[in-house]
Amino acid sequence: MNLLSGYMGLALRNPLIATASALTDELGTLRALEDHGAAAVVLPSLFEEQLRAERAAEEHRHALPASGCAEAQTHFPAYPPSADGAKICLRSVQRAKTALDIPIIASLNCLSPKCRAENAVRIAEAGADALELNLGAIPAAPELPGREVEQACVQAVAAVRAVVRIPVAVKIGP
Amino acid sequence: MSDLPDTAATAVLDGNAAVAHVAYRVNEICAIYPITPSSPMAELADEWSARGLTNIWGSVPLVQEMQSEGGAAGAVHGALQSGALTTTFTASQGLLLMLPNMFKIAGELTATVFHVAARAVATHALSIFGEHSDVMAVRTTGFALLSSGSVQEAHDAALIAQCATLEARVPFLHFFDGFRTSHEVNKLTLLSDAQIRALIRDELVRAHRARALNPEHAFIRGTAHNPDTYFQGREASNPFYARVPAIVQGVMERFAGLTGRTYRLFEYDGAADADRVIVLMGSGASTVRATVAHLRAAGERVGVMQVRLYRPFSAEHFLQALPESCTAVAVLEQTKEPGAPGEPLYLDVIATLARAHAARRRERMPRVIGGRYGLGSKNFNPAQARAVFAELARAEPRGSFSVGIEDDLSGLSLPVDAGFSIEADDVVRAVFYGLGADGTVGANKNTVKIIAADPQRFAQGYFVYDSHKSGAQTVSHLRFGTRPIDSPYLIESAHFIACHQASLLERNDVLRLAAPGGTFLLNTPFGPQEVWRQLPRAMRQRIIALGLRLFVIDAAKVARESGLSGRINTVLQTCFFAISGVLPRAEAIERIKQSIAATYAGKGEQVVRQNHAAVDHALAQLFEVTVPQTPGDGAPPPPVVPASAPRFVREVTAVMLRGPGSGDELRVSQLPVDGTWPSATAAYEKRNVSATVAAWEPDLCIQCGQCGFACPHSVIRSKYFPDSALAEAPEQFKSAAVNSRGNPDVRFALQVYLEDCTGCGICVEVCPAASALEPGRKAINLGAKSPMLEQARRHIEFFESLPVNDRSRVDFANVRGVQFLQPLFEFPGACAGCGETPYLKVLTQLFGERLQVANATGCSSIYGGNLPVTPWSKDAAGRGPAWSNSLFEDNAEFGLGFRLAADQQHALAERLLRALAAQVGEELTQELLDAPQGSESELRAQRARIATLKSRLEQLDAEPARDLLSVADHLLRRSIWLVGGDGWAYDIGYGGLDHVLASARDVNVLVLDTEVYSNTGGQSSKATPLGAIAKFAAAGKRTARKDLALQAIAYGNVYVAQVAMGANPQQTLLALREAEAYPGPSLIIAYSHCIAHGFDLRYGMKQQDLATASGYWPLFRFNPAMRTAGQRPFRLDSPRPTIALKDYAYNELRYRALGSFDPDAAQMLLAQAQRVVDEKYRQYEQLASRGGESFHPAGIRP
Repeated sequence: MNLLSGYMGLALRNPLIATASALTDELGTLRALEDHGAAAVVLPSLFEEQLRAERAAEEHRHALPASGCAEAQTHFPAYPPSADGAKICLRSVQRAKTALDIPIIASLNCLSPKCRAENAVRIAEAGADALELNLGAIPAAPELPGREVEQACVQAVAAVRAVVRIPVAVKIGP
Repeated sequence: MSDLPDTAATAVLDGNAAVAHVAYRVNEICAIYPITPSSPMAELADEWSARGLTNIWGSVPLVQEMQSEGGAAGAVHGALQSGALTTTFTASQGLLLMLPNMFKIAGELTATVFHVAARAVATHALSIFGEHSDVMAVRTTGFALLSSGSVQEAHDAALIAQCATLEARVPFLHFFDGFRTSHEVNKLTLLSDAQIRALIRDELVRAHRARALNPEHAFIRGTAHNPDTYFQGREASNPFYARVPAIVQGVMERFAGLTGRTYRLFEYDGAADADRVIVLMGSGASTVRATVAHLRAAGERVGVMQVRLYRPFSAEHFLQALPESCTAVAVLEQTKEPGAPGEPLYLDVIATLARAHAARRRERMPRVIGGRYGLGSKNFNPAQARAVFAELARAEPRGSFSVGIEDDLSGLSLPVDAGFSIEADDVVRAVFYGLGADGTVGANKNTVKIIAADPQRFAQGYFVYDSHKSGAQTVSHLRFGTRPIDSPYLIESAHFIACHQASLLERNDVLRLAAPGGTFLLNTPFGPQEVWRQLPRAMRQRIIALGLRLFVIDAAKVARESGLSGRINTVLQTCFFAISGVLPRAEAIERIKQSIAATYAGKGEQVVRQNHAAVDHALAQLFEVTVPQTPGDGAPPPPVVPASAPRFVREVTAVMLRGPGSGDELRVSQLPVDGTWPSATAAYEKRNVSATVAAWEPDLCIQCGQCGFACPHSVIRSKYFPDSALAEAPEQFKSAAVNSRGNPDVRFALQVYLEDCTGCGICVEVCPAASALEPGRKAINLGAKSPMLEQARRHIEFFESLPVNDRSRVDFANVRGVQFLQPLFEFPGACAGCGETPYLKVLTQLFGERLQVANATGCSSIYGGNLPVTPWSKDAAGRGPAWSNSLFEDNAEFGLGFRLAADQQHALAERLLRALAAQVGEELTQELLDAPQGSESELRAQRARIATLKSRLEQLDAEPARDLLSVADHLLRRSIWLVGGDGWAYDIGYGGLDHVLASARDVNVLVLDTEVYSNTGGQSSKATPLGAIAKFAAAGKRTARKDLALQAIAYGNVYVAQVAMGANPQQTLLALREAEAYPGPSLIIAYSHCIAHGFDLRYGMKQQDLATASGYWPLFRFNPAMRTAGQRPFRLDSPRPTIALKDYAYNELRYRALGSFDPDAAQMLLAQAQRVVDEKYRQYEQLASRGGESFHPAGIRP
């Protein structure tokens, strides 16, 4: 039976895509998914909150004493700079791309346009075949006119579209 | 200190980094053991090795941490014998532990360089500070000794020594002053890799390899000689030593050709026709040199000789360098050799001169005198150098003297004119007062770097710390100028003074060093209008008298508003740049912004912008205060200690409590002669280190005693008392009806000692009594201190007037009862939230009155014994723990010695008692001999009998009675505890500990296991767990933790318990009591959370609970006494794991950090570690099922 399908301009051998989950977080299971017939995989999302939290933790780590004690001026070995979450995500994309033949779709979940644009570019450069953009703005301001919310979505997509060539899918929250 | 370029460039480094830079490049192996102040050299080498940086031959040096310096020396010897270029870094006792191997290495004519940050050897006390006594103690080993006096010299000498040793085949020990040079930050010209390669001759490296042990052409080395040949063999190396001076001089000349920096074996500076010369080694030479220049300008004929090559001592080069005109020589030494005619260098100098004079090779025999300076990093300044020259000018100078102290006991000290200063006017001098982890020191090091980055500018930074593990005062001494700064002594007159913590003003005279017309910057929450009245009156007077400019800033607020949450150092550093005048203001601000951009380059633009914004905000919030004409009113400062304090405390301790360096004024006669100091002094310190402290809510309290049990600083005390006592209570004194049945008229009070509370929050976290109505509120909470303070002082006074509850009426088989026992360990200067101290506190509550403690060096010996005060205290009768710290490696043996003496003297007492039975009373004698000494009442009864015995003996004025009196105290069963951390128990002291456990004697060992070398800054020990980060395990520890408990259980007759107060305080209590009662060796391994684990210690007890819940730290007790009772001796006291290891471990940075920069390794190690946990728990379960006969047969007790 011919199950050939298409999604976002990607040619898929069948209509089954494994979406972002713990199963797509690990290279072993990614390969297994491919072996068992998945036509494409979506890698777990890169969250802006995660990047911020890591930066804060890094700041905190940098601010660690220096205890002001003569014998123990530091308590930890000097660390190399952290591989932040973005780097880990990009590395996952690269690895998946090398190991699998089926299309790799990366997922991005940012709040700020700057973060979105920067990381979209990095993801594309890492070799992702397509990008899933999550725009889930929490409706915390009921007085905000619907038009503005829609405009913001459109602008977000346009900004990403302007900087990457790969297909972009957009997931909008309720 | 990280990526150093390959081209000859300048850098700003401290002495340790400067030496490590070279040592790393010219060696293949570093076998080390950490010891202050040398540890940073090894840590840097380890860091570079982990990053794959290569030496000049393209290999990555291997860094191996050993179990002790003795082990390091053995590993070094072995690596050398196998042809590798090997080095080590050490100091003090560590160097002494290397002695036997040093003799061997020299005897075998092996090329190596040991780098030593010279530190005092512990004598009457331990000192981590600089002295040459360690190096002098090894001068007979046959090592060549090369001395450096500055950061640049140390850097250069590291290479010179390496070249020389390869050529000479004599091993070298290169040393420089601990702290004064090792930790001084200064600008230097770096040797490039090309220069290093050019100086090292590879054919000599190959020759070194050719001499290695090699089965391909077999030979032996390390034979045993008979009297017929040993002597000749010893003399056969003479020619090698004879050649060393010329070789070193030759290397120095080649070095000068390559770098332009000239060195000589003996460096003379001064008048060519000098009549008075000072001879010395180390950084003191720079101070004397500057003094010589100054005195010569006034016409004095003086000079200074800096000794660089001390061994072999080249008479020829020494005599050449010393002017013939010289009539008087003073040899100054930073060491002491009691009982000798003089210190070592003095003896060498006078022998050399006398010999030359006698052989008519020198016309004049000068008068030679010898003196000591700078012991234990005592500041050595130009005024002292001048005093020595003055002494030399006298007709009859003292033959032997000391300088820098007031010796009113032996009269050996020279008078010094403290006002004499030669500081240059164009050198800006700044002093900064900070507190602990506020980042002041780091910011100042950064400032030195920023300013010295300018090719035209030079800078120096030196940092003084007090003794506390946290909340320690720091004093930074910075100098800036346009010429190289070679002033290795503390600033006495500062143009700029900054106080980064307003709380320091209360007790410290921070303007003591202020120069007239200078600038004072104060970090304070008070604005420019209100601050004046907040300053102590004496300070206001001083500001006016000296005409100081006063600036204020609320750095905490600025930091918060800039999103830097509490990191005040950037803010204050900015202020310094703006107002100190070191650089033009605009340039200074630009530079600091550039430095920020460079530091945070990898962190993202936002972080850089945030910090830049902080800089701008700081400038906007920096205000100059208009200084009034008059100081205004103010209360005199309260006395440092109350008038009721003992005399020693008032006259000595109080002086030392005033701040770092305040004890300088104490005279020799005021100090104890043999290192004996009084206990119970921490109570006088009143650190007031936290703005938030614990506050008790009687209504919610269930009086469970958990808070007092867990408190690391013994600031929570409980008493019960009759309610009639409340009549005397001050206003608002808190108490509640005691909630035990059958005590209707009894009250319960819990008192927090506010001024000693560190605000760690552990009490709040362990309190089980939460309010049902107000979420977050418990029976004890943290609150602002200042509103409560005045009243609290009165409450505490009243609380202390209530009698301590009678021990024999308290049921302390449970935590609730223990709260009524008086802790005889109080207010330690340990980190806020320390995990070790609560165990010690409970130990003293249980056994304090008859406790004798052998304490290994480590955190516990530092918070336990680092002056000016000690937390070990006494009860009202003067009884309490007798505590002593000997060394690091010998603590188990030291404690065994306690037991041997106690047993012997007990036996002696019994024998003498029996002999005197008729005189003292048959009944009393029998009671004393038969007394059971288990319970409190039994112990009390025995004490009473001993008191009776003593009074009867005093009546009998006879020898045997006096003998018995001298040992009668041993009739009371003494509780002997050997206490220390995992560094001692698992590593350096393990051999001794093992032997002591095997001895079957009644000693109790308490291991405060922080799983890392906490005291010296977090180096890995064999207790460090798999996957955790530590120094020397920066990529995550690859081997699992050693199971000390299992090894001890294997003996069969050792009581072994593993405890964790945060998981089960009751089990901890039980284990302590069972261990003490067991009449043989006992070992308790106590989980101690620590700042080196990397989490907010407020949750320390919670982490302990999680450790046990994950199965990582099972609680158990192995009690050999159960075997005789026919029961299973091993009891697992904690249930099977209920959470994954990750849920415990990843709360801590020491595990989590690896995940940040090497997630693959982290994942792999975590999986392995989980398997280890699972297997270990299975093993313990299996042990718990074994009957008593399934363990190693117990030996017979001696």
